[in-house]
Amino acid sequence: MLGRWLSALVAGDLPEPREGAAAVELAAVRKVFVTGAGEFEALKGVDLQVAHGEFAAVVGKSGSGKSTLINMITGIDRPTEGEVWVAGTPVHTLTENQIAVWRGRTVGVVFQFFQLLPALTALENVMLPMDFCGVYDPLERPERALRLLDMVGVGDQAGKLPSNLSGGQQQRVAIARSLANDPPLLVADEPTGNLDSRTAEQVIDLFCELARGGKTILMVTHDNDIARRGSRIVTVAEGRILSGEQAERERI
Amino acid sequence: MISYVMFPPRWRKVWADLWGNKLRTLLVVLSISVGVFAVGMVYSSYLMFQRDLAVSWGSASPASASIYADPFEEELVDSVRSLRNVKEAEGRRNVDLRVRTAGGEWKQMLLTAIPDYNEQKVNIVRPQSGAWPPGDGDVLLERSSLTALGINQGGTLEVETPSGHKRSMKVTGIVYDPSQFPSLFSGRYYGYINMDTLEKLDEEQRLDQVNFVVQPWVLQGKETAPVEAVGRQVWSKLEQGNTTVFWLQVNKPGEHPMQAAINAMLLLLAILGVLSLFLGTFLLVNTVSAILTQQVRQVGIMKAVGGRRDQILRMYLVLVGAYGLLALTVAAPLGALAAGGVTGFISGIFNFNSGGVEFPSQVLLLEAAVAVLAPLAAALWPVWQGTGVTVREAVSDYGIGGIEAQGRLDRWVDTGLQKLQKLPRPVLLSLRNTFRRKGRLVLTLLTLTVAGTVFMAVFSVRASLYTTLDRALDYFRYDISVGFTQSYRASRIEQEVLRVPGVKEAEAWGFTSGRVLRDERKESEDEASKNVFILAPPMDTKMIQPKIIEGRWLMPGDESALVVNTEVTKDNPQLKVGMPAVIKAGTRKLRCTVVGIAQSTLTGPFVYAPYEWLTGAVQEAGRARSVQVIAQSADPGEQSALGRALEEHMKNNGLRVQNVDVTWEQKQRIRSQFDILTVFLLIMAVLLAIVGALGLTGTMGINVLERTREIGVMRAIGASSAEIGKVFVVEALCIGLLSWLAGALLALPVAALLSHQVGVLFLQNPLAFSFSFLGVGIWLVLSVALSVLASLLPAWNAARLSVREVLSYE
Repeated sequence: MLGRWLSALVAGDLPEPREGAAAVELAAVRKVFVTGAGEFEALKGVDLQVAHGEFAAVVGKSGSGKSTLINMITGIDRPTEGEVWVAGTPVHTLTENQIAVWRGRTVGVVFQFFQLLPALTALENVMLPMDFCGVYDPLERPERALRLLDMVGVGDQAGKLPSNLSGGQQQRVAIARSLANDPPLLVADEPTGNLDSRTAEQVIDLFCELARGGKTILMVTHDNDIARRGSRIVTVAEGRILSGEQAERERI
Repeated sequence: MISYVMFPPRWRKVWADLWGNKLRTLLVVLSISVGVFAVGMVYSSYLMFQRDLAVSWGSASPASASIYADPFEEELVDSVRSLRNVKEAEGRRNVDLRVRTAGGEWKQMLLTAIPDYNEQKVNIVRPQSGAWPPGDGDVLLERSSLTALGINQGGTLEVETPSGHKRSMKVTGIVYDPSQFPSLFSGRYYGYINMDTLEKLDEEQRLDQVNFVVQPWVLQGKETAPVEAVGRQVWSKLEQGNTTVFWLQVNKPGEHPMQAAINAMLLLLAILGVLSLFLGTFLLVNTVSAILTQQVRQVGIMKAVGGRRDQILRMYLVLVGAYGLLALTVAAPLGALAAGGVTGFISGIFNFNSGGVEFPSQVLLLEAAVAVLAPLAAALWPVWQGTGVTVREAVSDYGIGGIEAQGRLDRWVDTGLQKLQKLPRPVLLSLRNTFRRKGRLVLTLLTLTVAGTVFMAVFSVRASLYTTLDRALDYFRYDISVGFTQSYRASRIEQEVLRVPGVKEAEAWGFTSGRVLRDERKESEDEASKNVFILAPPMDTKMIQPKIIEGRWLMPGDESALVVNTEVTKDNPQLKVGMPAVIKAGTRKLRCTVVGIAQSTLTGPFVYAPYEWLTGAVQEAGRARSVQVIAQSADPGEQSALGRALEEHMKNNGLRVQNVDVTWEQKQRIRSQFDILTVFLLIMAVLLAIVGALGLTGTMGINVLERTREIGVMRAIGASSAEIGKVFVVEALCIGLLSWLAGALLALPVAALLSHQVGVLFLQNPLAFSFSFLGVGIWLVLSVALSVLASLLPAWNAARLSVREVLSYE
């Protein structure tokens, strides 16, 4: 009774996606943060299109707005102005609750600080999105989660708590978690930022492989070598996306 | 693997939160339990008290009214019973005599002879242990008389009959008389004998009292008038049987004789209950919102991986509900046990049978509501809000609260802190911390303030009771009072008294007892009214110091002037200064004018009349029935000894003594009556202090747990454990002092109100208000000590963690 009432109160039905849309499409997106020191414009009208199956690396200096940009795409934060379309869904129009449901099925998010739930084992962390979104048969879920962990190379750590895993292992678990509901889009915010170069290399290999398998991947990084592993580089500076030439200049 | 189907990961997380962090679970369950316990204990006590009192007293089939008359035959009782409006009637014989206690003192005792112990109908006395019914020459003692009398079953009672003969009686059993005033309150002892024993006490085998119960149709609520009307019928019935009736005492229907004191107690219990409910709720809201702020980041993560608001909401509501259920299982049995203890204590005082620990369903319902519904309600808003923030905001929450000044209060505090620049930085940090989380601060303060206010108010009620008592007892300037069974020449009494060594001064008074009549009409004589004592001291007496609250004291030349005390006006509201009063003393009607009203001395209803006029009016001019004595020694022991010497001397010289009252003993007795309330109040205060203390420990503990990360940051930048400890201790001190200040300010009006109410209920008069600075002091020490202790423990715990552990702390 209470459950039904709660569900009704926070309805999460999603609008039908637009046919034949790009994987990601941003139009004139502005984001203004209001802080104690006044307003700060993190994104100053950004337009961006990412096609299906692309592995795009978003680069830029600290504070350039790259994290803000991908937060717009994952619905982790909302634009002040402009439109954000992901696989034909207008993310900017969704409610916080609709975003959660939509994200659970459509976007896999990988954070710089892994953000695993400390109370759950690696396996349970990976199963959590399936549980929330109710995808896959409950009997299948543990198997699938274990398969994902095997795929990212930490299958033998399934029963451990995050605090007993190394940074690299935690990040692999986080990647496995982002793949739990088989989303078409994977967004990673400095996924290698907290890893040594060898582990970072392995994580990027993993992303390349996933992109080859048909997933669209957006990855924020400040490491040019890593960025070059992607199929495309998007350079952000002072809240804008630079054109190819500008980007070259910026890099020199 | 199959277990994941039954128990999906999100419910694993709830379980891990519950079981994985045992210290936190303990603190939360403790905080909730405290409130539930207090509510349960008070409510159960209240119910058990009412239940047991009603059962005990009701089972005695209490009399609607009693009639006292000259001795009459038992057949007369049958004619009373045959009256249409009388349901049940029973005759008894009362013998007032004196008894020697185990301590060697002579005290008043009431021996009641019951014609047939196995056929009792009204004011039923029940066997408790030993013989039943009493044999010839034996006596059964009322259980409330045992302790003070110091004589138990199997002992021997030494009594002195009204005619002055000493007799020994064997105590063969113990009985319980629910309708009698407990000895603790009346200062008299009660014994039960059979009719044959009367002769051994120089009394004839006849009855002098009829207790009767009216038919249910007579009663109109709690009105005494219908009972009084039936009483008059009984009165005439007895008079037709050729006996002289002198007194009708009507009881308020459905009210225990101790109702006033009981009401005072119930009021205090109810106040305690409501307050603990408040306290419990504040604690809950505080605790629950503390846990949830801790979880904001995890909520963010769950949303990032697709958790819907309702799913997350449900998870936390289940978590909170589980805390509540745990608390309920801990607190409910403890509350019932404690309630049993409280009821036992009260039943001991009021002399009723405690029916044992019971677990009434309405108590469990209330407890469940407090334990589960209140936390859920408290959690709903913070969870709703917590699940509403964007993932970015949630994930970037590192457990260190924002420090930006936002409101006017913040800026005001900052400006204040600016002026305290000389304070060390960690102290400034604590002060700022204290005020930064205003919601939390307000809740913690409220909890502590409520506990403190009541604690201090309760101490003040206690102080007021003592002040009232001291003022009342200030009246007594004499040390010993001796009453005689008949009047003697005043000069002879004084002469004899002064011959006893140790007597400093003596003053003979006129003394008689009588009834205040409503007016002069003949019918008023038959109306119910309570006995009053008429004292006739010399005009310039130094033996008493009555406190006149209206009108004036007696003056030389006063003729038929009368001063009444407040205990008389309580029963006879028609007595006002300047109004006429009619008193029936023996067979005479005395007409006089009220000139003043004196404060009650808590010893009974007294009226004061000029010596010459009263002794003249009752045709005892120049004579007296009582003498007040001032002893040379101030030592209580010597005064008691002097009392015995006086009695001995009077008897040896042919003066028949009725009673010897030693003032300090009397004061002692009144004090012990007050102590019942004050002890009860003290228990209440201690309980509240415990509730407050545990509550504070919980809140402060959770508060510090929540800031474990902050401690890690301070550690990382080089703070020593002592420095960190200082930050939290100063914060705790700040909260303790603030709540103490607010509590002290609130305590004044609350105490005044409570004193007034308790006085009205207990003494039918507001107490002389006195604010207890002792209570304020105790609470200051207590709240500060508790705050420091409660925050230091978890802070010390946190300071032991390594920086890495702390920074990764969730």
